[in-house]
Amino acid sequence: MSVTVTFPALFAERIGGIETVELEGETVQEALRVLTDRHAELAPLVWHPEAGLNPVMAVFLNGRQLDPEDLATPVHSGDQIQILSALEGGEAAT
Amino acid sequence: MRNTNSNNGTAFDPQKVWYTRATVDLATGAIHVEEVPCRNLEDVLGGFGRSFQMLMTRDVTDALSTDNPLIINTGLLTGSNVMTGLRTYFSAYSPLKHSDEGLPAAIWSAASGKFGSKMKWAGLDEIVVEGRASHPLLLVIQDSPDGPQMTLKPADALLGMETHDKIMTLQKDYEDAHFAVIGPAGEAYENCYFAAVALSTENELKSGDDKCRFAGRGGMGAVMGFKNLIGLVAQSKDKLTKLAPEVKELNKKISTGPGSVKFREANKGGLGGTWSNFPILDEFHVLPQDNFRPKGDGAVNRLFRENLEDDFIIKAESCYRCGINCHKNIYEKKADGTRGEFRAKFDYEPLNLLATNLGIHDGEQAWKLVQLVDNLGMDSISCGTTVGYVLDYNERHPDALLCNGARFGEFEKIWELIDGAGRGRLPDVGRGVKRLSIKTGDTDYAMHVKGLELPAYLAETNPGYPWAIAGGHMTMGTFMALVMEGDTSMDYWVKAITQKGLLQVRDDLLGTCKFAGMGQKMAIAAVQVEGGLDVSLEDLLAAVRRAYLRGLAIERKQGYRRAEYTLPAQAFDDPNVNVKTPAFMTREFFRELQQEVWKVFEPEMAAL
Repeated sequence: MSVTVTFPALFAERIGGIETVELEGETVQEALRVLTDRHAELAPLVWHPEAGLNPVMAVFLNGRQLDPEDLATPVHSGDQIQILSALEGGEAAT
Repeated sequence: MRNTNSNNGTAFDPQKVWYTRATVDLATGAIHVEEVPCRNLEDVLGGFGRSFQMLMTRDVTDALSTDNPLIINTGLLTGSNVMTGLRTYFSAYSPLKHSDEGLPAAIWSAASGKFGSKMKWAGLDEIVVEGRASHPLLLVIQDSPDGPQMTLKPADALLGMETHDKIMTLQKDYEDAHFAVIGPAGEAYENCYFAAVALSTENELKSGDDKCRFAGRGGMGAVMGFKNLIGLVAQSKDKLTKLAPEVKELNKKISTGPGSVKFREANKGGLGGTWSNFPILDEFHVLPQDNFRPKGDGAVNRLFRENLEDDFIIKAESCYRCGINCHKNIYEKKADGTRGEFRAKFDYEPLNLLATNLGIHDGEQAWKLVQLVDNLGMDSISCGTTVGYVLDYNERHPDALLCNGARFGEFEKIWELIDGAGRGRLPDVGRGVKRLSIKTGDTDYAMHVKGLELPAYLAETNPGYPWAIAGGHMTMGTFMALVMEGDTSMDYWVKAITQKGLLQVRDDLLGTCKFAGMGQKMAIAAVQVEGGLDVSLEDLLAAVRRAYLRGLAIERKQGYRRAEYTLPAQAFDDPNVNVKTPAFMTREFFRELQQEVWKVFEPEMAAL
C-alpha cells in the first residue's frame, strides 16, 4: 500500500529538508520501518533503543492518534501517517 | 504604532515607524505620552527587543530602588487578529536574578490574558514606570478620542487582597476593562523576590473563577510592589480589525496544525496539554521528584492525567479567541458526576514543581498548593524550586532544620512554607534559592542558574540552561533536546545553543504565545500580513538574534563572569543512577562547551 508519512522539522532537518515521504507498507509499523531503513538518520528519533516506538513521538493515522501498541494497524493506499513530537511545544526553534 | 513605510518596493525602514510610549513618574505623578521613532527592527517588533535596549542604558545596582524602571509593553501582534496575540511584557532589573557581584540582572516576564490587548487598543504600546510612589496607587489607562488618558488613583482599598480578589474588585468599577495586579507577595516585596504580576482573563471576569494568567519570572511583581503600584487598569472597547483571509488561514493552522498539537485535547487531535510531559519524562526517569532527583519508583504516576480523571472534572479552556484550549482546568467532581467548583489550572511546571518535586503525589493536595501560589501572586517555578531546596536540606540535616523543618511529602508544612513566603514571613524562602543556599553553605543542590530557579527539567539533561537569558526553558529552547534526540556530541550542543535554542525568544518580541507553535514561515507571514511590515524572514531572525545577544550583553554589564554560566554542581559531581537518558554532563564536557559557545557569541556581542 502506498502511504504518505509526514514528520516534524526536527526530522526534516536531518534528511536535507524533506518534509514528506511516500512509501509502501502493509501496517503503520512496517511503513515506519521502511522510512527508517531509507533514512537511517531518523531511526533514533522514531524507535526506542530497546524496543517499540520512541515514547517521545506520537503517531497519527489519518488524523487519529494511535496508541504505541496499535502500530500493527493495517494501512490502505492513500493513508496519511503523521509523526509528531509529543514533547516539543511548537516548531518555533526550527 | 504608526508605520509610514510605503511598502512599494523600497526597503523597509524601521525609523519610519513610531510607537506610543507613556512615561509615568510615580514620585511626582507626572505622566508624559509621546510618539517615539523606532531605532531598529527590534524596536518595531516590541517586547523585550525594545525594553532591553532601554535597560541596557540604565545603571542599576539595586532592583528595589528608584533607579530601576518597570517597562510594560506589548509585541507587534498583541491585540491583533493573529491567534494567541495577547502577550504583555513586564521588563526591569530583577530583585531575584543577580550576579555573584550582587548586581541585578535584567529580565522580562510575559503573560497572556487580555490586558495587553486592551492597553494597545487604548492607544499605548509601552508604559515606562519610573520612581516610587509614596502611597499605594492604581494606574488607569483609558481610551478617548484625544488618545490615551492616564490617571493615578489611590489603591489603599486593594491592599491585602489576593490576586483574583483584587481583579474582581476592580471589575466592579471599570467596565470593559482588563487588569494587571500584584498579590500579597508583591506587597511583601522586601521579603518575596519572586512575586508575580497577575493579569485578568475573559474567562475569569465572566465566570468569576480564579483564572488569572501570570507574568511570573524574575520578580516583576516585587518591582511593582516596591514602586507602590498595586495594579493597572486598561479600559477600551475591543478594536479588532477585519480578518484578512491569510490570517484566517494562519489561525486555522495554529489551532489545528502540528505546532500546537501537544496542547490540544485528544478530541481535537491533540496530546492533552503540557501535563502530558509527566508520563513521557517519567519513562526516562527525568521527571523532577524530591528536588530534581527522580527515583523511578512509580510514585509520580498518581498525578498522571488519566489517574486524576476519576477524581476531578478536567475541562480544556482557552485564552481570548484562542482555539488551542491549552488550559487544563480542574473542577470538583460532585457525587452525581457533574462539574462543581473550579479548583486550579494544571500545567506541567506548577504541577511538577509544587507537587511531585516536593514529594506530593495527591491530586487534592496538589491543586491546593498550585492555587495558593496563584492567590498570593508568586512565580510557581521559583517558589516551588526554592521550597524543594528547603525540604532537601532538611532531609540532609535532620539536626539543623530550616524554617519549620518540613520534609518531602509533608503537605501541611509545605503549605506553611509557601504561605509564609508569599506573605513575607519567610524571607529565607522568598528571596530565592541562590541566596538561601549561600546562607546555608549547601550550594551543590540549589537548583538555579545565574540566580534564577530552574524549571522542571533536570540540569543534567540540559547544558543549554546557562545561556537562557530570562528563564531556563522559555528563553533557551534546549530543555527537551536530550530526551528527544539523545545526542551528546559537542557539535550538536554548540549548534543547539547558538543556532536553534536562542530562537525560543522570537515570540517574546512578537506578542504571540509559544504554544501557537508557529514555524518561521508562519511567523513571518503574520508579521507581514497582520503586522504590515515588509521585512524578510532573514531580517526577523537577525533581529531576534540581536535581541537575544543584547540580553547576554546586559548580563555581562551586570557583572556576570564566564564561570557563572554553569549548572548546579550536583549535575556534574553526583550523577543520579536512576536517570535513563545518556550521562554526558562531565565538568570536562561543560568546560569545552563553554569555550565553544562563547567563541560564537562574544564576537557578535561586541559588534552589537
